[in-house]
Amino acid sequence: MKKLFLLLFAAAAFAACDDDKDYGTANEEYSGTLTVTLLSDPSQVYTFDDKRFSLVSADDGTLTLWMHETQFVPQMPVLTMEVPGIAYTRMPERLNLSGERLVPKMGGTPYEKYVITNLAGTLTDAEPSDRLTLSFECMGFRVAYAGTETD
Amino acid sequence: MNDRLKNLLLSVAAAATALSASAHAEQTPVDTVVHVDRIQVTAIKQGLDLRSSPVASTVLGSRTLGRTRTSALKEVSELVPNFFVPDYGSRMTSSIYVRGLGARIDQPAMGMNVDNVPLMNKNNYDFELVDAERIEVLRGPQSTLYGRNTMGGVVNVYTLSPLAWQGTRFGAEYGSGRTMRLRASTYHKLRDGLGIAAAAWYVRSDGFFDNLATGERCDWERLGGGRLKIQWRGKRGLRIENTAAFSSLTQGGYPYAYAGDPIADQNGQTLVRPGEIRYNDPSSYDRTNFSDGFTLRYDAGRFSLSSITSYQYSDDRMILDQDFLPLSYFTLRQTLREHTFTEDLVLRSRGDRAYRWLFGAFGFYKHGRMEAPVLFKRDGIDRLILANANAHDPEYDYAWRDETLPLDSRFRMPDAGAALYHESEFRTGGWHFTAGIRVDWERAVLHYENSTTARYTKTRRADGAAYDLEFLLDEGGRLEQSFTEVLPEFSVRYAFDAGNDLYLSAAKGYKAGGFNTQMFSDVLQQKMMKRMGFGTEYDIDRVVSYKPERSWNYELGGRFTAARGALRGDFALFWIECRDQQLTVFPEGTTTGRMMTNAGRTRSLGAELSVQASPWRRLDLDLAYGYTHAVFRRFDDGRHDFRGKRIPYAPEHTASLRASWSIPTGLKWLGDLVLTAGARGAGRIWWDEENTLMQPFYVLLDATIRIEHDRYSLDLWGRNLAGERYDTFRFVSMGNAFLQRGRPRTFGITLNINISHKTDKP
Repeated sequence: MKKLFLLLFAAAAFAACDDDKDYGTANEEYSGTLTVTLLSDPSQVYTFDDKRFSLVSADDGTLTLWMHETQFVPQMPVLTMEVPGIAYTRMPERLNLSGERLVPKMGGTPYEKYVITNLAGTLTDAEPSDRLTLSFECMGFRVAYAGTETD
Repeated sequence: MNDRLKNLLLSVAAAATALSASAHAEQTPVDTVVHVDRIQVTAIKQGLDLRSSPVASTVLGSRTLGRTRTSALKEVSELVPNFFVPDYGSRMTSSIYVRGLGARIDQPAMGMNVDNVPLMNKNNYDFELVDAERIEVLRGPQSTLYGRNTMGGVVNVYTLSPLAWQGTRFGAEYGSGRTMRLRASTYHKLRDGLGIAAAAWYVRSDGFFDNLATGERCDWERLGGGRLKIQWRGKRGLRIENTAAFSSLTQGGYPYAYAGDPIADQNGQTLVRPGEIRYNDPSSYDRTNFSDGFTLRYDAGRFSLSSITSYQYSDDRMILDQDFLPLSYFTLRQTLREHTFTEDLVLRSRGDRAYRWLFGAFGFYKHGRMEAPVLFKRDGIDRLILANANAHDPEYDYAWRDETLPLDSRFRMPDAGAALYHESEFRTGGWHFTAGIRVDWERAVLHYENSTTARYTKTRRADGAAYDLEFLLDEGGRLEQSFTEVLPEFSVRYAFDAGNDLYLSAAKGYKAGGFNTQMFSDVLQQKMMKRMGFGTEYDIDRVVSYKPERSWNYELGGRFTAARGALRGDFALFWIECRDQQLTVFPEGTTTGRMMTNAGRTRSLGAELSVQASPWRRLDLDLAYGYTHAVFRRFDDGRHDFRGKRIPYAPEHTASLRASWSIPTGLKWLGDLVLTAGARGAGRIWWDEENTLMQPFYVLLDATIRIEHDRYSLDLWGRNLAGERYDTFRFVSMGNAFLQRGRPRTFGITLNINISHKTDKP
């Protein structure tokens, strides 16, 4: 808890020595609910519980979001997606996250067709656990996530 | 009771008493040393006169074992009702099915003891039975006395004693498949009460099945071993016995024939047709065993104290072409080195009192190291990994930069267990009441290390941008679980007389929990798929750990004797409820592998009948029949619900009928001519949980012409004389079906020579 906030002060050092980050394991992991709405038909809503997301700081001063074993609709294969280049601004007690157009990676390579737009979110320094809220659009879906930090 | 019935019962009692007296030449209480056939063993936990115990049992004595030339436990299959030991794979696959219970891998449902020493790894059950003088098969849970992995029963093997017979024996056999079996053993009494025996054996066979890919027989074997047994019997009630045995085995094995539609290569040329054994990578099984069992017993006036200590070493290696096709998918090279120590202490009352008791304490420590590297080869990489990845991902083309993909798994498995047990028996008149309880504790630990290196290239189809990627994994962990089982038993028996009784029993049995190391290749595969961007990672603990399986066995049985002992038999009706059955299932979600779990519940109902008859002086008839109706009461593998389906691999019927006719030749030096004809059968056997594939009931006809003399015997024999075609094993690997045919018609000649120095007449 609070580790990400502390580590952001030493982002470069963290990135250099974290061997695991390429594989999507970070020190800050969240578990929460993913709510997916079909943009062309907002009545179609899918909810997935206990989804694991994580945030890792990168060398270039941005954050990378890992969406572990995620699917947006039940028919979609389970994917582990890496979303690099998320900008953040520090506010009292929270970080604001944003991204206009982000190309996710899967298995180490970029996938243009899964481009993520209009990403916005907050990482709140809360007790007893930090809270992560996110929303973005991808492949015709509006995706919202609300999770809390896991131990 | 009318007079006629009374007279009949009295005559039966007299006959049974006479029969008992002749069979047990030394009338001693069951808790002391007794002579049965030519063994001299200490009946430590139960009497050798199993006909007075409330348990369904079959005893194969030296004459039966000699006349059936039994050299392995698999040859006892079907001679005992509902006891089925299929002969497939290699000597590592010693699966035993009894009353619908059994296991292909991991924990067995049946325990095995050799001269009172328990074999702690079922991989070692299939050994050469040299000078085995008595085999007992006890059906139904024996968990109170024997503990873990005896929910289906126990097999006790006793070997010839140097205190009961002194001399030298030679045996030579030659048969189909260029199978040769040589044995030599010598038994000496060094002085009064001290005996020593040494035995050596060698077996070779070219096998019976051709692998068309190599043009050679695949089920060849070479086996050699030796045994040294020392027995000392003091005059003050102290007895010591030590048996050390060594064996070394190397064999081909795995004559698995393809059972699907023809497979063609890219040019349309047929690679394999149904019914063909055709695989290109080597497959074999090697095993080295050493064991030492030390038994110490002290008989005081009112009690006896026994200690059975053993050390068992096993080093085996299995190499498998796991696709069993003329394609290079993947191979497995599994080595397991295991050290086991066991100690069993038994304190029991002596004498023929109304109340008898037994207290025991058991402990074991087993340490195993296993390496199980799976090597994906070109076809496996192309067809199983790249084809899936390319079909799954329209954005990129995947290409492997190496020729192989190693998935290495290494394990260290220290297990320990301890148990306390008690059994009380109270007799009044013809009534015998028995109650027992055992508390078993066990801790299983698995240290694992997995590693793999994969180098591949993803090329974007849109613009040809290439990314060289590397996947490195080197991780380890530790899993631990412990469990405590309370195992009660109850029985009541009423003996009408020495040869007729009825009993009712209820007993709990269990199979130990553990870890299914075979799942680790699936774990690694899932991990790699996740790194490639798709797939779900397993929870290793949840996937490989399994807990104990438990059963309750309810049984009604009895023995009967008639016609002055010329007709003897026993019967049993049983009902087994099995819970938390250890089964392989598909995990929830979209993972492609399997996992071991305690998902099932089964019910097994059945009946058994054994009859031995001697209708004429020199004619012996043996009949054994078993029926089992074993079904899943609950089993959902994540894709299908198998409730109501028959349990695979366990036969519905087992049957054996054997007739031996002894004809005196009138020549003292020649002895008797013994003509034996037998039929044994099993089936129906379902091969899959869906019950879509099944082996119908089959019958194998055997015959022997034997010259039988005290000093030698000569057998001309034939097995499966009608050339029955049947399957002994069927399975599916990577969506392809395979089967193993039963052995074809075989013939042979066996010569045994016994040079007796002196025979103790008990």
